[in-house]
Amino acid sequence: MSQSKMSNSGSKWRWGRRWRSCRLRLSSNNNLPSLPEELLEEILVRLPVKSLLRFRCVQKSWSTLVQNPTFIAKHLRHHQTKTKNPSILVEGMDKEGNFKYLLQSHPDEGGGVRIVDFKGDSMGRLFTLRPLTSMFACINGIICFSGVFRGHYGFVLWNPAIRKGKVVSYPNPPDCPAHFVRIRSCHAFGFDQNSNDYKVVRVVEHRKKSVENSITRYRSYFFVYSLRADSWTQIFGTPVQHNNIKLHSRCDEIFFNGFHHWIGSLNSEPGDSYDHHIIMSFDMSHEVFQIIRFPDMFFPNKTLAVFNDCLACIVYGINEYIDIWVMREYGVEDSWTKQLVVGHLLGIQRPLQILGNEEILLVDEKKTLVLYNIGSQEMKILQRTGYPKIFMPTQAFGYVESLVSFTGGDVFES
Amino acid sequence: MASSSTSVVVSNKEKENKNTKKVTLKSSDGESFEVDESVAMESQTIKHIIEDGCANNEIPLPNVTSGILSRVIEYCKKHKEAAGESEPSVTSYTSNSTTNPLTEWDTEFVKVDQNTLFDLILAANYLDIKGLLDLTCKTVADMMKGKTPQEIRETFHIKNDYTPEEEAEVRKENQWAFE
Repeated sequence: MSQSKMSNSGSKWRWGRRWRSCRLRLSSNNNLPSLPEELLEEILVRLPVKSLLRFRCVQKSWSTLVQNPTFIAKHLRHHQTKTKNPSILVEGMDKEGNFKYLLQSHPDEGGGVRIVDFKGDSMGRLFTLRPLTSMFACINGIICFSGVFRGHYGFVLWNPAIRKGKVVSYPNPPDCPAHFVRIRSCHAFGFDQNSNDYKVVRVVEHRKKSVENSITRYRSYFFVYSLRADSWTQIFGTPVQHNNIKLHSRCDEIFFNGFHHWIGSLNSEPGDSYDHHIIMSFDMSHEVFQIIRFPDMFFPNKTLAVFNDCLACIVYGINEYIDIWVMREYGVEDSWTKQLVVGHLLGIQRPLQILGNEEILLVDEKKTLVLYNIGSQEMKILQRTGYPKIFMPTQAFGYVESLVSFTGGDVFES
Repeated sequence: MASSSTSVVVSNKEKENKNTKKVTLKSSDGESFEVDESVAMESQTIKHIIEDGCANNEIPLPNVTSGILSRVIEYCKKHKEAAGESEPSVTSYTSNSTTNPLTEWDTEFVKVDQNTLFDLILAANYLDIKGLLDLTCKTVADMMKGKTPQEIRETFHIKNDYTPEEEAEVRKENQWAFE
């Protein structure tokens, strides 16, 4: 079928603004119309990862395409927006306090459970998760956990869809200044869309207790790892150091809009009241920290989430209702709005995450995961078949497969 | 309340009379199709031509045969109708929460032979009809999912440019995907 552009005298036609001139070379069989490369991409983008990896064998240009970062981003975007019922990646604790990870498909897609385990080959097996592992995150189909590798603390980036991962060690911890003790570290995994780079932030906290007036002072060190550069750099001069802020970690955090967000306490003592809660954000692209304040809020328990493409805060804990506050305009503290009150939720312990824009994932008193649909107000219980016997869910993320791969040192297959 | 609903009905009728503006689309093999302008504007390409004021009598579509064009028009008509009938959702928190009421119709629509399907993809791209492009590409993708590389080559009439050794190497890199 000829694809020539037609010029009609006297009028200006704008044919196929998406037209490209390059086409697939086909065999001599003229029966089947030839599809231009961009249309072939439109089709391939809709395929699951497993099929695409298999189809690398079809011809060389297909293999190149599947490894092309632009195609990978397009594929990811398509699946992120079009997947109606995403799978759920769940972290939970067993009775020994060890973390276990599961990938559960959405109840509307069967609710089947798969244990998440990257220990396929020798390198993967050398990695052990620390008890009370301090990082677990999932962005763009890549899972990040911290643990111990060959005697060093570090983290692993793992893409279960392509069964490839990479291990990275933490830089050596800084020495404690006089009278300070190292208390712990916080981490964050994020994506810098400006440079198409995955980054990990490591915050090492030291604490000093001053005896006379018993004010606790904190001091923190910040390091950023870039996957592209495959290296760490230290950052200085952040609000956390200057304002004596203590970061909370686990379950309060969210990656959104290119920023990682922690909830922190300003000038606080351990066990301080909620009045001093703030959000500490880290811009993955510019590598800068910023403080975002909460509006005046009654409830003490907060979980950060994403709702309607805005930064949100799920507030709960006093009665059987949960409030969802939304920062309508990112970064503008005045734009915090109480968008939704969800209730009357009986038997619910706490919310974990908002999936898509319609469903809230919660843990009930029996430690079962429940999906609450905001529109239909329906509760769906996630089936427990395939779960370890004792499993207390602690964190969860929506999960969509991606083709993102890793290069550099310590890459493994599982 | 009753009086206001009557007035709404009246004004809709007035609107109907105004909107029976038609355009003629001419296929590559010379056949003419008269359609409502609103239906034709499901195609962004045609919409721009009309808005640019270039659609005097007929709009020639030299890249679409009559067989394909009639199907495309059928798709546009059906989807335009459905869009007109559905009520705007009251509290929709997301735009992709509503299930497509035409899912069954769409599924039947794409039950065609492969040649026609590919022609529909080309037409949907050429005429810039997002929904049709989405539907047809998804259909082809679904058809491809379980196939082996050889079957894909046969479907798309692609020549294998790997040597047997090269192919074995690539295969080995993702061996598990073949199981």
